[in-house]
Amino acid sequence: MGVLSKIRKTKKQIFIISFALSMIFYFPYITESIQGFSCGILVIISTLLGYKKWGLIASMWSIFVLGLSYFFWTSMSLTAYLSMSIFFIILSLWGGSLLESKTKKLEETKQLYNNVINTQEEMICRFKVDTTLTFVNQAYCDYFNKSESDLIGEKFLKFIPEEEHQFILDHLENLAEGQTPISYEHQANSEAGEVVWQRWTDYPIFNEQGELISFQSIGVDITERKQREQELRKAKQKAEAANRSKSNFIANMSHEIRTPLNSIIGFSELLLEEEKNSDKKSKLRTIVNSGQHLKAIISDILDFSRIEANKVELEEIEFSIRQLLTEIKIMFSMQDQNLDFHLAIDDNVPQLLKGDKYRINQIIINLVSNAFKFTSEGSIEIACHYQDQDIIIEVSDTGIGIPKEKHDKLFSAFEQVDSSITIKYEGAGLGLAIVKRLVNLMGGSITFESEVGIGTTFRVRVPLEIVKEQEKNSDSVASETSNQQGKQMVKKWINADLEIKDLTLQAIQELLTRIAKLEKSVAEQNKAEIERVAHKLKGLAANFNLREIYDLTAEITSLARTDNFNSDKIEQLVVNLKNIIDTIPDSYLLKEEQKNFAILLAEDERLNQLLIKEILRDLAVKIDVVDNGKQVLNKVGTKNYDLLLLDIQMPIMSGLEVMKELDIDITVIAITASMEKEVIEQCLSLGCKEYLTKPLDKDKLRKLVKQELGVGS
Amino acid sequence: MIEITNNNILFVDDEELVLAKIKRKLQDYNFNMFFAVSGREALKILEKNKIAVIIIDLSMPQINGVQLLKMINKDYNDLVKIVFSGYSDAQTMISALYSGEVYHYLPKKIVNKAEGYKIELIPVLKRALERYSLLEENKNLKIKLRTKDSFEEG
Repeated sequence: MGVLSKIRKTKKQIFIISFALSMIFYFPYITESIQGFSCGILVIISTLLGYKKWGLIASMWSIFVLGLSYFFWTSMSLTAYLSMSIFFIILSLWGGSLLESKTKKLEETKQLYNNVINTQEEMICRFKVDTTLTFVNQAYCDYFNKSESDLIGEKFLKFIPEEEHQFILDHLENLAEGQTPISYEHQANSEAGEVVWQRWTDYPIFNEQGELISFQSIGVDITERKQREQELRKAKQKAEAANRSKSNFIANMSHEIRTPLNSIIGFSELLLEEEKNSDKKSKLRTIVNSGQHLKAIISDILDFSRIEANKVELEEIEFSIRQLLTEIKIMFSMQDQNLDFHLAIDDNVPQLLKGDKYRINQIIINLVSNAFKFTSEGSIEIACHYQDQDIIIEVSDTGIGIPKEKHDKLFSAFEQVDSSITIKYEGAGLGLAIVKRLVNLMGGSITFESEVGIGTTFRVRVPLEIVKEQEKNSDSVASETSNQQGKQMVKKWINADLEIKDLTLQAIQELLTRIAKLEKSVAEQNKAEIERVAHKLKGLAANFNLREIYDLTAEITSLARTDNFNSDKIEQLVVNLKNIIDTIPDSYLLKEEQKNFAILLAEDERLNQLLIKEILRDLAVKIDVVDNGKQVLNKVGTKNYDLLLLDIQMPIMSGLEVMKELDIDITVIAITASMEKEVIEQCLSLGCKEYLTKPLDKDKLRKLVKQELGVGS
Repeated sequence: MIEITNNNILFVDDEELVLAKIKRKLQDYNFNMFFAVSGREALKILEKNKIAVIIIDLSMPQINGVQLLKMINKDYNDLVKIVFSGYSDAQTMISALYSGEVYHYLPKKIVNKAEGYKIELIPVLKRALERYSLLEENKNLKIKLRTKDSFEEG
């Protein structure tokens, strides 16, 4: 605006100067031509400047002047005079029309500008640094319900609640410094007292000297958008909460279903073990099988919902795919002997791979059991090879095949190739959906080829890292095998005479103190004592079939008796003795002397309590039962318990809390209905030695309890 | 068939576990078993009970098997004495045999094995009890005879 007014000012000045000059040049002493010329210049200037009237006056004036000079001095020819006059008139007329079009254009522009500004839905205003409004558009007036004249010249701060002033001033300061537009959202109260939201985009305006002269601000009302946002946010929270409760519901439901199911299967299995009548036996077996089938379906549903909820975390375990496939082969070969079942593992398949062994196992088992399910004659083959850092596993069958129109739906949940065959080919229809999602989760892919009546081939491709041989921790492997040997040795000792099993175990527990005594006497070079201790140990070893101990102590005894006593040799033998003891699992060595083992069982489900007691009945252990965590802490100190079987999901105080509070050294086996990795890891990190998942596998439970109590199998 | 009048057997071994094992192995037989973990304890039991057979492990600390044998030889000479010993204890065994009237020597190796009990220990114990009964009967008969003689003489 400044520039425009400046130009206007300059125009006026030019005109006045040129007008004054033409007047000066009109003195009679000056030649007519110069007079005429100055008039002409005035005409041109006023035309150019757009002073239409002045241009005409000037051209009339110059004609008049030139006319006078012609009549009085006749120094100019008539033709020259006439042509000059016409030229000036045309010039002034042209100037006029030029000016007219220019003014019109200007008018049009102005109108356009006003139209644009005033029909804008956005509010536009300009204000000085002290927030005095210098310009507002119609939208602005409408929005604040004030007329233009009410606003111009007023400080807009006046319309804003005082607590917002500081914010506005800070904002303007930022704006002045930053020189770039800044947008902000701002909450205000409308005249009706409602909360409104506006978004303003402000930018500073500088003059030619770079001084800040004003701000321009463009604003929109975003109250509606804000409300919608809020609604959306609420809706999202609601949806998330719903989803969470759905997941919880499924998890809880499956827990609730599995607990009684667990009892049904468990007790039926126990009955099956006891039952002699073959007819009843087969009926019981049907109950067990159906129960297990139902159990499988429920865990499928749970698994699927966990995958859908992104709750599955993959493990990174070193494993041998060859071993895994071989185990699967053995498992299925035992189930179905009518079909040819082949396993072909390519030589290029690495020995050790890293990945989620359990999930890969699950995938393959799923595919193979599908193959068996849908194949009544012919053969099934698993083929495995390694290519471009991917393991490729193909499961082919000569089964009924998949019709073309079903190909698309194959991996969707709850779909079976033909819903009418659901009854024949039992299953929840989740198997392939789970497989597909697991494979994708691992970054792999699954494809298939199938022809009705000929067969189907599924091809799973999963990227798996190879574990180099030398990366294997040879130490841990060595200790693993020596531990295995120790276990074998102890089993052999125990099995030599089962009638005195408990005494043998006590004799094994004696070994540590005896050998410590022997070591001490060797250190003291006390020949008689060495002989005595070694001899006694030999006797103990002999009585309880501790062959390996007997051999060494017999040698020590006879060495100690010889006249040329060789302490180096004896020391070496004691080291050997200690090495043998080292291979024996701690669970055998560190038990206190007890004839009857006592177990504390913490489990809130009465049926599960009964079931566990039933399962462990043969072990002749005393089982005390409590049904919440608080009671565990109260009870565990009152007696020397050998083992705590701890259900993780209990009322009042959960198993995990118990583990945190527990200050007594006791072997704990966690029992959890949750197969979630975090829960299991948490149990183990809190000090649980082992864990079992519900539904309880009776053999696993027995095995684990026996192992932890040091009762041989 | 000899009538067993006393089936009290005392086992002496400082290894409690070995005693426990013996008890377990012999529980189904008609023996009345006593157990002592030391020579001193054995003497106490002998004082209070009429024991027919004593089985002693020769390698015991403090009062060892040989000493115990010598002591009981004096006071309980009708007791049937059996010793346990390992092969490597040849010397101890020989001195034991000479120190008193040891009825039987049982190599430890025999009783270490489960079948050793059936093959050797149990028959030996039975025979020992029989021997005790025989000796008792013999003694009683002798006494009877002597009283009879004295009657006849008197």
